[in-house]
Amino acid sequence: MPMDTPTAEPDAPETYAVPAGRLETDRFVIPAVTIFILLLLGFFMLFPLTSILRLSFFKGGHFALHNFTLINFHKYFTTSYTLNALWHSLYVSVATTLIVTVVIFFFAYALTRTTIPGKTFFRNLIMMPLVAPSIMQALALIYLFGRNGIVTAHLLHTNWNIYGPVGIIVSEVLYCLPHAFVILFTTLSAVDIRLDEAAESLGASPFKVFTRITLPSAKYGIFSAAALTFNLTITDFGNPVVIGGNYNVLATEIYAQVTNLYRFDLGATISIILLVPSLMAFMLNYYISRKTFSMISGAAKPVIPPSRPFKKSAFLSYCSLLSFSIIVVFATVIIGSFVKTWPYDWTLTLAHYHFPSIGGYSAIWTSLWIALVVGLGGAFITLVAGYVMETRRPFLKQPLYLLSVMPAAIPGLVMGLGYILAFNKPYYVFYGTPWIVVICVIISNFTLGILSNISSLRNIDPSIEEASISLGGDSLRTFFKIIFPLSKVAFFQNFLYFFMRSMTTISAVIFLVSASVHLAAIEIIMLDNDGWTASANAMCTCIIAIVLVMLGILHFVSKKIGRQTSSLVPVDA
Amino acid sequence: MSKELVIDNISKHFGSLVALDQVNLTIEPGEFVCFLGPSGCGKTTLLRIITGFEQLTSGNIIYNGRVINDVIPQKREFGIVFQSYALFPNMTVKQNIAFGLKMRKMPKDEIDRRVEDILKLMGLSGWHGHYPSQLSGGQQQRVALGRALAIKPSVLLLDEPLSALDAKIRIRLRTVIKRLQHELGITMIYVTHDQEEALAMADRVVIMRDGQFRQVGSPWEIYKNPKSSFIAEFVGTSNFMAARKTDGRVKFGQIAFRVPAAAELPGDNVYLAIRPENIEIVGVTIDADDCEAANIVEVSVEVVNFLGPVVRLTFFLDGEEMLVEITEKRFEKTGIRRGDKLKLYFPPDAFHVYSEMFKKLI
Amino acid sequence: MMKKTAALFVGIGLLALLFAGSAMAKQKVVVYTSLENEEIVDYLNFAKKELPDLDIQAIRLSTGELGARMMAEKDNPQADCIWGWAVTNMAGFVPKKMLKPYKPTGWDKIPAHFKDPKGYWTAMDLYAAAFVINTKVIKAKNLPMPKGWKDLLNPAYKGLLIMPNPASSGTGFLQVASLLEMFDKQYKNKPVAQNKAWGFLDKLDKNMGQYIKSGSKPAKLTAAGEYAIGCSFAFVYSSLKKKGFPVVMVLPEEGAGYELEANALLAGAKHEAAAKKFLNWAISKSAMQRYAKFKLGVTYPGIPGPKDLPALSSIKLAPMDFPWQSKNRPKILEVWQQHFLK
Repeated sequence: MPMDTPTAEPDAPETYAVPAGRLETDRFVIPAVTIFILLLLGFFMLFPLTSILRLSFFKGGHFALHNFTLINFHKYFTTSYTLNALWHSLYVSVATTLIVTVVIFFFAYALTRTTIPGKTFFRNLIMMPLVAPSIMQALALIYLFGRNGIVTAHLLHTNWNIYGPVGIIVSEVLYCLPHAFVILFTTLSAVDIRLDEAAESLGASPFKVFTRITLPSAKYGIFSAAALTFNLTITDFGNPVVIGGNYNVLATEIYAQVTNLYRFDLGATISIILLVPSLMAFMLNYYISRKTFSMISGAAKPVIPPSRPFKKSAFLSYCSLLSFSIIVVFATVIIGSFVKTWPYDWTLTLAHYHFPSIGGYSAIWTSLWIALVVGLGGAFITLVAGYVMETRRPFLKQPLYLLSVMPAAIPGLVMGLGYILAFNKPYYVFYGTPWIVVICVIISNFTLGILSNISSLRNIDPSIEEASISLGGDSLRTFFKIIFPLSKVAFFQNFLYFFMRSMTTISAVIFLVSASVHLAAIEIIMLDNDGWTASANAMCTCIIAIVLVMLGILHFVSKKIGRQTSSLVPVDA
Repeated sequence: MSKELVIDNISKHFGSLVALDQVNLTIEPGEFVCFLGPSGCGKTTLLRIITGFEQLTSGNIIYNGRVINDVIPQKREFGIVFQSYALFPNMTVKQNIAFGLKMRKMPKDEIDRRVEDILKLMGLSGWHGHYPSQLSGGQQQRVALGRALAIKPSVLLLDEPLSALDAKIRIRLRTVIKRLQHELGITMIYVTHDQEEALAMADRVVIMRDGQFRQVGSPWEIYKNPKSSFIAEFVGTSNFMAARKTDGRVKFGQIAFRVPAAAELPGDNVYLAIRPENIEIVGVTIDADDCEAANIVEVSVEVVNFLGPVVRLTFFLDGEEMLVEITEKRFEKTGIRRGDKLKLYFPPDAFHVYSEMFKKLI
Repeated sequence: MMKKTAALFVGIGLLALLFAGSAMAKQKVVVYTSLENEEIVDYLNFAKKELPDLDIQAIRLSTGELGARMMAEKDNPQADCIWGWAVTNMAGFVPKKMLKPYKPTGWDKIPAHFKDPKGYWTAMDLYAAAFVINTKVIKAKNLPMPKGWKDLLNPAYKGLLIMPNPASSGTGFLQVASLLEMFDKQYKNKPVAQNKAWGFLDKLDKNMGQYIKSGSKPAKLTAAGEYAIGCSFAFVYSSLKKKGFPVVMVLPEEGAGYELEANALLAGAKHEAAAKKFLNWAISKSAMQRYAKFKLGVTYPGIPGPKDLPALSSIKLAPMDFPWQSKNRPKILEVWQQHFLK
């Protein structure tokens, strides 16, 4: 409705209006996108899960009341070695959780509450395990502490070796450190340090301040980090399969039942059993992290007072020690890939980079392409889903949210097994192509992607969106012209996250590699299985190099677009 | 040309919470209407219903004789200015202002011309290449105003547009907005919790509380004749006394005031309200001869607040804390200090009498 | 921004084309194999020269993994043919109707006991169990050289032995199966669980350092010095020896268990014509000569094995009852797991 402006414009100008057709179709855009994402998650997450449920609870996987059976569960719980897998998993996970929580708490404490030098260095270093497949820790530990390890056999001349539960625990600890660190670092940075100062000024001893003020104020972060660690450990496949020896855990037992005994039904049953503790840990973490966020205040962070010299040097050595162990792990794998015969012949060689496998370099290229597609696709779709959910609040918001956070609770191996059970039909043309890998990795990592997008979208003033609408902007234009450019940093972070997960994930895709799709991370396991450990290290090194290059590129790009990415890795949960 | 906008018996419920309770108002073309109320009174909800961002539960919103309840915001052609400016941070000033025009597929050269006009109108010529983050708060809000006006809206809705700005700029922008309204003859609907702003700008003020319109009128009407004790307190300041009618007088503690207006109210318990500036100081602002003896009370000054043009004195009357204000010029002559005894005169006609006392917020 | 976003999608589209567009001109054939990676790389390079019109896509999985995969894909086979997979496992697929009979060109040349009479499978080679021994470790710990399975019970070897898990490794299975047949002549007439060989395996377990997933890994870990004696197979020994590891090979004096590796056409193959071409090549004389560079013995008559391995004729082989093994495989594995997985 144009108005008359008698003073400014004598002649009424031509009128322009937002094209009506555009606004008509716009009504359907958000519902359509919502339904699309719901269907996507339903079809690629719930459907495979139901296949697993069907196979474990019904004879021959045929869904019918008279086919209902608990025989698989009976067999599981009455067979000692399968039942032991559960105890093993719990033991390893609980031990890892305790160690990681304590170890990383003091590390995060040192980085947030003391004035030790080199904080940026320590912070970046502790995140390093994220750039490598989870199997890397195990590979390094075998070179260091295996039967023929450089430390055990050649320095200490002991027969002791790390295969078995100890090996799994140590490698899982190293693997989980960055994940737990992100949570505790965020918590400890957010809790007001002035509380500590207030207590100290009232005469409390440093020990009392720590136990009465610091610990309680960080308790939600501690529980959340513990729950996440437990979940990561109990669902991990890469480390136990390499270093576990004959010590089976649930994840390796699923794989063994399926691949060795062709017992898909038992594999599905164990998947359900693995799902229970993993789901519980996830829900605990989910519940706690909501509380954590409500505790984080926007209060300004005062400068940390200088730490006492003793405290400073103690924490500095502690952080250095932990960082050193991470460096050693990386160095072992990388050096191990370049020397002729670890630990006898240190002649440098590129021989191990002539991969003795069908996959070889083509696996690396396939992985790279897939990771790029997963990175772009995953970052984009989680941004769209986050936008629809957080900003547009569609009718089906609750189910959409529930489905979006569910993938984090599903172990990768279970997801992968579900995929072959559900999609191995002639009419699912994507089965056996790289696309199924792309979809599986995106869906498996959907939760973290969408949570980090939601928290970044929450930082955008809702009025901005309304301003666009009031000016005639429809959903698509509002999204592409305003929301998307404003979410660039989150988009890059998520791209990197999905890219890294895609390059390094093992468990979700081990059932999905095929004659035409060889993946680098899976090649590591295959090479190691066949005893080509040095080549496995070489493959691992290639993955690390690719991820690091991508990290560098993105760091450069995000600096170019003039925004500071506070951390290149999205905050967990 | 702006058209008549009718708020017809609108209610809005959020679950069991009633945000708007059957409100009615007709806004004339070219009128400046201010919705004034404390936070949570439903004023923003009403604004969002007018813009179309919120659906109403019952009633109608009628524009130009047409019910527009189901018309999407994009089609209402109303301009909106937000408290947080809501400029697109990824676009320059020019791109921000041109956004709505691009959506309307206006030719490029015409957009350029319109943007220049708007920049001139807003006193921002030469700033078109800057990004919002390079502008001051006041400039940003002017860009936001310009952006909303660029599409030549029939109604401009402003949601607390000045509350994020500091005091001086706020006052300057009030003038800018008022001047634009006169020049463009556009209907403006303005939401604020700042009574001073509302009084200063509006043709009509709507006092809102608990989802209802409590009083509608010109600023002067509302200030002079607040219809309830709440409005008496919310618009300006008032001293309140819980009193009782006895023997044709109104007794507050030991003091028996003569209050003619009290007779009109039923019941014996009444509440008296009097504005601080309406209380006179005997011998300073009024001669004793002009006073009715019954309404003179002697008090001692507890606190002296110097506020610039006026000076506020706090005193206690029968244990209640009260205020009286005198101009800085008078104050200079008297040199009143803490502890001084003063005779105060409460003019009988200056009292507002209410039968109920509002519950204090907070 | 619109343009950049568009570019992004074009990029994704191009990637999709890359996936789809590779190798369109050639005839595709998908091959599943359990041969050793090392040999496959060599054979495939050779095959590419001999079969230039085929685009051979292969995946190598352990014997167990490969079986699981084909079972999972039964309704929608992703592969066209199997190349070099344990006959014991293969035989189990015949009643499941997962194989399609096909007699490749030159089928007649393969001796009858190396092929299925109906043409369901055709063996290409034979590989035998062998102990791979690290001489350095033996010397350092002053251990005796073993001659056969029974010597391995010597307590001096405690923790220094390693053998494959029969559930995942074909080599592991043939070792256990050969012991069941050699140590209990009545094996056919009693339940598997009562076989006398379990008593021997229980004692052997006391010395066993680890049961490992793959059949070649015991040899490789032994070569690397992690163990003294690895129960593995012959071909992996020769490859390690060539690389200069301090290893010797001993074939168990009781008789070496062996297994046939065979090829077959999968029922429901999507590229049957190409698969047949590949299968023809896989038992051709030139292919067999290539296999003979690695394998202890090939099924094509008159081709000698590798020089660094003893001639097949000089080896005492265990009596292998393949039909019985194939039939009792699940039972054998179950009993084995009950005994040795804790």
